[in-house]
Amino acid sequence: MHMSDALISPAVGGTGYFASAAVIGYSIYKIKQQSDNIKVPLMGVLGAFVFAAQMINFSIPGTGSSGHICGSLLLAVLLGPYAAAVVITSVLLTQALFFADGGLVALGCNIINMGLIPCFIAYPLVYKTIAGVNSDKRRIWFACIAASVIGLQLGAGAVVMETTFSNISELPFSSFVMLMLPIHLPIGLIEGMITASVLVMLKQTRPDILSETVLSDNKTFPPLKKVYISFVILALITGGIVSWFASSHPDGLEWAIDKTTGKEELETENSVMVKAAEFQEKTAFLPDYAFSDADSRTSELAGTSVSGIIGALITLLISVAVGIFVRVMQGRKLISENG
Amino acid sequence: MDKNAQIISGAIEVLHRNVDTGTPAASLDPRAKIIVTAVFVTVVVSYSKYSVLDLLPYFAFPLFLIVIGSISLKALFKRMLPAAVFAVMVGIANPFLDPNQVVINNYAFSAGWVSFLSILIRFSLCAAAAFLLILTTEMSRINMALKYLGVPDVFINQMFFMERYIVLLADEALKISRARAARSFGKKGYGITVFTNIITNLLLRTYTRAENIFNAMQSRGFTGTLVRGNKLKWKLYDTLFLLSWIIFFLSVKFNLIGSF
Repeated sequence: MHMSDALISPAVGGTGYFASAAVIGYSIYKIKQQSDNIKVPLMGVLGAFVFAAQMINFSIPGTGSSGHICGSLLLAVLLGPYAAAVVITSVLLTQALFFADGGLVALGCNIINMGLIPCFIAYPLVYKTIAGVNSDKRRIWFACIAASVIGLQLGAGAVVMETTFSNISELPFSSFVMLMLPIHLPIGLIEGMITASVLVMLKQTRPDILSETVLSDNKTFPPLKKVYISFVILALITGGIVSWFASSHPDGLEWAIDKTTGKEELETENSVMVKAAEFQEKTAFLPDYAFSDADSRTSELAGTSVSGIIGALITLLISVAVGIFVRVMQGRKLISENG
Repeated sequence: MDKNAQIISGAIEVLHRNVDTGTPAASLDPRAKIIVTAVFVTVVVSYSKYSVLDLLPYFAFPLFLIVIGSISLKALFKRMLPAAVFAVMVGIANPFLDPNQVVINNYAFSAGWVSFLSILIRFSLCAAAAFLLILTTEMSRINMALKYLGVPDVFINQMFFMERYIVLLADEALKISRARAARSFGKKGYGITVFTNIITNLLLRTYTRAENIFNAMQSRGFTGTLVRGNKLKWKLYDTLFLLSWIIFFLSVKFNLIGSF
């Protein structure tokens, strides 16, 4: 998701440069403070490693296409956020110069999207909070997947915003968001799974590598059960309470459409889209997040809340079912491999 | 050959560029080239999205570097084509989404196609400028120029080490990819599990390599700062290069040439 110079305006590019230069400058100051000499060759060689690792492809299940890792989260876990941010900046500069992956004007934006977001948002706020000290396998997996998905979604969202603010591409914000975010959801999931597997293997073979960053923090972290429970509570709160506000105030996009066209939703003329909408209406369990016979405002609010909670629970159940399915399949594979 | 191995060997070829140090382009001070390139790409992206003809005079700069750097056009296009994917993919939507018309020299054109053409020209100019900088300057001289321009030592060290080990590790990636291809049949062996195993292996080897490098550096008295020789010397030729191109870019941008 490298931003290109062809699609960026100098104002957006310049803002990206100022913002990323400030954070990278602070990171360099923190690295100097640590005065850890081994980090000098380690950062350089790990930067080259990320470059090399990105060249090796793997096939993406069910799509027939192939992908490569990004490596930002892995670097943040191995080196800490400050050193990782500097390494990713050097990788992005090399990619811009040697391969024109991203441009020189867009470099600041690319540093934010692919370096600063994973290192300073996904790693400390998501990964570290969940993984904690002496993390077990499950905790590392959960932390990596959550951090990777959130990091990539934020990064992809930033690409859309930068492109929209630049106003060179005609792609409307809504279409571009609907293109970028769903594409980066499985990418984040796979990146998280790979990062987790690598970290679990490192923990088994070279735990000293991880001890310098993650394990050196002597904070106490909540047990994994509590983390799961807080995610469920958060989902229920979002579904149950926040959906009230969502129902009374249309979301930003609907608001924007309402303001620009005078209608809350755009009318669809395309016959395929009309058919799809009809099919969706028939099959939707909770159409428009409310009971279909909700007459009064109170019952509408209650309907919206219940819909939100049920929606969150259904999503949770689907996630658990997918998890169990993957586990059963892995077990079968192991049995067949071991004869 | 395995497709992935083919891609990696192509990338190694790009990384292994041979800078012809005998050309006038190579003997220019890298600071002058970096500053001129930065001004060039900033001026190019500052044009409106329907600019096509206004951008054409800027091709003079890459053409000048191609000539004084003895760069093969084929090699330059070979580098630029794979990089064009994102710009083309996002830009191709413009002809379908922008129904307006723009008038250029009294002729009406579809605004979407004009803006798409503008995106392609911007991409060609900016990508060519970046490639020509790297094709006419050794990486060590670029690092040194960045240091002279005030970039902190930590980042310069990082670029220095990356440059040293990138080809080495890319070569390892190529060997790994070939070994995987030799042991895989059909789609088997290209999945995430095998990938994760080989990546972890590569990471462990890389880590050990970094530790060995550090031990070797420490035994030679490394205290955290790398000592480098060959200082840069600014010449009159560099001043002329810098001033003439910046004046040219600004003259075209603010339409000063026609007003004389």
